[in-house]
Amino acid sequence: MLRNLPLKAINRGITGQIRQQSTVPSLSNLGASWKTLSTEERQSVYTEVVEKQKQDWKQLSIDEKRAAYFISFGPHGPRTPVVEQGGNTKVFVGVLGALAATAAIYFGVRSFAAEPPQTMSKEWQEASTEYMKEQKSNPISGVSSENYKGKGMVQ
Amino acid sequence: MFGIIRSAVQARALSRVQSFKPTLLQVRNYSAGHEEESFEDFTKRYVSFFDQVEDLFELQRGLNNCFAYDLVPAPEICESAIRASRRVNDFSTAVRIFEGIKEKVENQGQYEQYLDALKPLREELGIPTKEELNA
Repeated sequence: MLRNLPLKAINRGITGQIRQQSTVPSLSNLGASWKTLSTEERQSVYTEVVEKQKQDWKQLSIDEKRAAYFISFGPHGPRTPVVEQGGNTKVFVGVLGALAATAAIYFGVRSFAAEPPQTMSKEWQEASTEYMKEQKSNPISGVSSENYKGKGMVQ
Repeated sequence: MFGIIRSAVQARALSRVQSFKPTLLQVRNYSAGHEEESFEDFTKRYVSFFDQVEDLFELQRGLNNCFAYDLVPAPEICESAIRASRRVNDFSTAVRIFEGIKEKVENQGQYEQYLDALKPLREELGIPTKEELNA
């Protein structure tokens, strides 16, 4: 690590020089490059654009006009849109993914579960209803009563 | 010391009593007492406002106020405002004015009419609309 330190310092020095040489970034496609600019570079672009606007507007190039409009009313700073381009799709896909994951967990865990007890089968339950009727259990209002319309023991 | 104050207060109260004349017709300052401003007066007011604008803040403040009414500002106002933005050397505000008009009008046809009415000015100063700028 210590051996690398001077090298890093040199690297930083070189990039610093390069940055200083190009003080005024180009105005073409400023909307895309704005995010990458430092505060000083933004300041210099702004001053340049303000100076340009003092001349006849018909002599401004389309790039300069776009840059001027972008700096004033473009989607940066407080005008950054709350939902970015394609943000809604991202949220939709994310929600779908989360639902798919929960469904996978739900059915995956259930697939490892033991078989339901044999008393939960339909045949068993019908048979126990029959057995209750045979025994005449609950004869006034229940299974063995007259005109009984319930399901008995079947769940 | 208190004696002096008391006598001063009494003197003032006395003068107030003397100057009070009961009248039958009382004017009450309810908020409904404002007179209606006609569209022409509105236009005149804002044209004169934008004609005397000398800085960007004042221009944008005026535009915010002017476009906050329940009406579309007349082309004269827009022309005056655009000339004001030329005066304060702010290109983007000039473009923004057309955006404001587009927001305020009811349909595309009215917007076209505004564009036609302001066409000479736009060509004179070289102001594209936002759509033309991003085309």
